[in-house]
Amino acid sequence: MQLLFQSLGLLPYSWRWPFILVGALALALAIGGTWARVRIWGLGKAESWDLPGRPSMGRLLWLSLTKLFSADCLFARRVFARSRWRGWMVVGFVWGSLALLLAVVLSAVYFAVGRAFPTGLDAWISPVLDVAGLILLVGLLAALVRRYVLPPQRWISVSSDGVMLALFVISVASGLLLEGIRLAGSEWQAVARWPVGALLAQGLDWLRWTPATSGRVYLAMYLAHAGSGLALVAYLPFSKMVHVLASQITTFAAKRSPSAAALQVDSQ
Amino acid sequence: MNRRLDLSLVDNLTPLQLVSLDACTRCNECLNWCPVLDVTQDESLTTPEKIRIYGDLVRSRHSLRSAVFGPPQVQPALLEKLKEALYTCTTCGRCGEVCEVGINTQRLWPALREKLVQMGVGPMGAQDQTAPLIAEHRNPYGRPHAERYAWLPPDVTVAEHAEIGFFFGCSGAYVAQPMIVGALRAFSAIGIPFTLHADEWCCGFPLFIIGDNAPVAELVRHNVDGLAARGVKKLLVSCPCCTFMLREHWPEFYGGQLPFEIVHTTQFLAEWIEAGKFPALKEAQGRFTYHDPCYLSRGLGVTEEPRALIQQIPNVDFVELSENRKLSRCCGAGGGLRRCNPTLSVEMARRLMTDAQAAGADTLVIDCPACFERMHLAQGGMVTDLKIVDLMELISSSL
Repeated sequence: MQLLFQSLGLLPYSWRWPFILVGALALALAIGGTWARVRIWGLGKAESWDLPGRPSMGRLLWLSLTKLFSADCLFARRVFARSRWRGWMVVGFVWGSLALLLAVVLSAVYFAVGRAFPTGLDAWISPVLDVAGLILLVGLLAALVRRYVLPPQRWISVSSDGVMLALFVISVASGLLLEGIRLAGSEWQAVARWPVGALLAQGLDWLRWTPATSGRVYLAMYLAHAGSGLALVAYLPFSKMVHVLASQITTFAAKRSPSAAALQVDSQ
Repeated sequence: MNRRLDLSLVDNLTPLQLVSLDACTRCNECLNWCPVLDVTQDESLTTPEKIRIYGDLVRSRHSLRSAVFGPPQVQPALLEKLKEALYTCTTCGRCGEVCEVGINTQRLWPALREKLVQMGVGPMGAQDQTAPLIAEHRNPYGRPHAERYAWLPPDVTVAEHAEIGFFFGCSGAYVAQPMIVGALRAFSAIGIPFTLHADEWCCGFPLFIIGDNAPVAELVRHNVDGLAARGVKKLLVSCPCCTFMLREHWPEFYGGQLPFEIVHTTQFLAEWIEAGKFPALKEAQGRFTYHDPCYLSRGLGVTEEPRALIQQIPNVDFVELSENRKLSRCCGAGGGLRRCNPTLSVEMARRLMTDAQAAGADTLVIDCPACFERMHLAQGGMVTDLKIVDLMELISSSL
């Protein structure tokens, strides 16, 4: 618990327990919501043309996890087939989110075992994550433009779609800003490991914030980042964003759809 | 009919179909391709809405809360909206073909419709006449069963027993005779002995596609047993909807593997072309284009064999439609739409004819009896010189 509190050192002491409780609640909602969704998938009846293997919850979760790393998903092949613009948008989402997610999981593992993140590894991961955040932000901005600025002629949407997008944008933008504030006032050479953060820091230097202002903005961004991140995690299984678990399975299955190619026609 | 809203909403869906209800990203790409939306301009009838509404129903019906406190109340207006969206659709599957996450809508819609029928909500409009008509006449057109074989040309020999069978279907028998007559003439020209069912019934597709599955098994057993009794090992089928039904769904209604394999007519004839055994054809006048039927192209993946047949015509002048093969436009005949919304169905057919004219063709070649019927009907209200010809009619007339 001492370690956990250290990681929340930025927060006033009296906020820490409520903050931990909110985090635990978000995680519980995410796990419970995901379980509820995947449980329903497992209620289906088995058919020969359907997914291979027993349609158990474990099997479906396994497919969801492994097929995310298929070429079809990583390179958004079905999306590129219809629109290059949307293809790059989806690649931005997928690659950016995956890199950030893996980094969060990795640092959480180090945190859980009570060890410091290795410096050598950090030197490699920092620039990757920095750029991943930017790629994700660009993908999100492209989605915002498509949805609200230049919507296609044919369009149907529900309000919750915008909520998820807003949470995502707040989470990523505040994360990058946090980094920019942290690096503000530093020399270029010292911050080259965080190219995007360094650029933002340069911009923030122009504002000439006092240390007290910087501190307040940093705390606000920290809360925005953590709050939107936790809300995103908690809301995801209850929203249409659950497609991040489901769509790789349908994409995989689309390749196995019935085709007359399987017919053996013999005219002899 | 009393509504039964306490039924399971998932027991007839496969795991993949349940995953599909969560997989839609609402990217809206399918809206760009929906031929119903082209005419209605009503986005609430489209794929993302169908998936969203049914998914919400499933999640509320099968939630833990529902298990503890009982099934939630479903608003009748919501069910009506779902019914309208699910049945104002030809199940052409173009939305699934372009779906960026690969949702197989052509298989999903009949399953959701089946559930609406079980709940007493579906089918829609005059579709409820399909089952009584088939029960009485063995065809969905309500035409006398005694006339089912009236199209059979007297000069064509049908064997009593043969390894090759031909399933001609209700649409072929009653509304698109040139298709099945042409097919038989082509079989005769290449000299293969073939047989027919002694008393063919509807394949069950018109019931299956509106979700009214209860009477289908009886039809399937009658047809399978009758064809097996004739010694059929390979069954040729000319109607794409029948072919899809026989290949993909008959085994499940029959309760096991069929005693014969199912082959579409064009696939069978294309093999004879490949083997160099297809008879030479005469030239045909005109500029031709070909419409890929939904259940043949997207349903079964058969797109090149019909073209191979057309290319057998010497010096044929052939142009492709702008939307072809697995992206072909639906003619409006499928999914029971022509029964519940004939006006929309005919208007969709007119859009296809307009596409054919825009391609510069003077003859639209069709390879589906339902399309054939719909296009001829649509032609009635249009000023057009476009000729509608069935592929087998074209081939047999060039023999």
